[in-house]
Amino acid sequence: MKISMINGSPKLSKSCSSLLLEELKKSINEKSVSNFDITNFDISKHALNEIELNEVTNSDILVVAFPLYVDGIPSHVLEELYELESAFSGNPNSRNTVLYGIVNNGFSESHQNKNAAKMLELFCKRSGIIFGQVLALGGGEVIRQMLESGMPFLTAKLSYIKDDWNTFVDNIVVKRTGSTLFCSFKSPTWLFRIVGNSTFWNKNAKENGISKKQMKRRIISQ
Amino acid sequence: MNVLLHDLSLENANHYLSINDKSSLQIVCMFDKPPVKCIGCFGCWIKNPGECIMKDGYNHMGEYFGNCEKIIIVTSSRYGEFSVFIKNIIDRSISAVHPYFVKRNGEMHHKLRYNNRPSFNVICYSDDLSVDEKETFEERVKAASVNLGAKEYSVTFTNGLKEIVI
Repeated sequence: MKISMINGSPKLSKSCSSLLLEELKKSINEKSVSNFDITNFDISKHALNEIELNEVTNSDILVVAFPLYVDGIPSHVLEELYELESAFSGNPNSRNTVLYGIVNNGFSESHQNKNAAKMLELFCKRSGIIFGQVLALGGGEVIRQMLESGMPFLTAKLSYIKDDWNTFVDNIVVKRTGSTLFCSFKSPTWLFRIVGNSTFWNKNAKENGISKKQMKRRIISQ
Repeated sequence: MNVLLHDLSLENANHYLSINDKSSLQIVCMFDKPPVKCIGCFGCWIKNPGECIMKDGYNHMGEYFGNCEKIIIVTSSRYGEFSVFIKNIIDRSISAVHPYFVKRNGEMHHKLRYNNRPSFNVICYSDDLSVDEKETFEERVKAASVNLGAKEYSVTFTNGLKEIVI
């Protein structure tokens, strides 16, 4: 079975989306008895070319992973979906292609990904392919940091993903559809806020030579 | 000041947009040079707070949103999302908020950078939207308006390009 995975993060470095797709590849290979031919595509630098579009639209399974951008789809991913819609619509072989999505956001709450999940479903309707399932994750930056640090996946701080991840992978390997899996980071909101604001945002700003006062900058238009 | 974002061609803008007072309107449209896509660098938050670090002429969107009384968006739609151009501009507007997390309306959002609360008015002219797409689009406009600190929002579907009076 042929699987195409599209990394929809705009980041040129390792991102939550790219790291999750690496883990997904491992999980699929561990769970499945048959061989899957998995190809990864990265659209952060350029859109899919004609050969790549052809390969994606002739896949049995398409996985798209991206970060939530202002409650929706990053514009470069959206542009790629327009191209994919044209390619899928013109390809009679793609009627049985099943799409799965992984959407992550930086807040702890996964429900804020719900509109983006719905958008992927509506993309499938327009494209004439099957909508499989979306895994909607909160705590995207936590996931990225933990995976980059080498933490074994689905353990410790990432254990909150485990059950939904396993359900997601189980569905992918048999092309089963399902409702969106919402997976929020397990932490009191106040704690997530304090830790995020101080240990991530302020710390990173300081490393760039930006003070707390400068962080508050307002630009007043004339 | 009000801000008008639209994705119309020059021809369609001249034909369908009637603007009463251009002097107080900041117009951002696609027949200027195309915007660079957001690269997720967080530069507008932690390197050059308040402004996108990619200086392509679309780097002031946060400032525009933070200083206006009204944001008016004229857009096509697909899948319940803004058009690619409009979404690109909105992606580049996150400097209107801080990176800091706060609780607002019972859920987590980014802290607002500015004190003003513009209205967020979206006019969608696509004529082939399903009921689901319209519903999703309304939900996503509402969500974006909350995140950007708008005092109110509205969504109008014109079901095709018609005269739009600003």
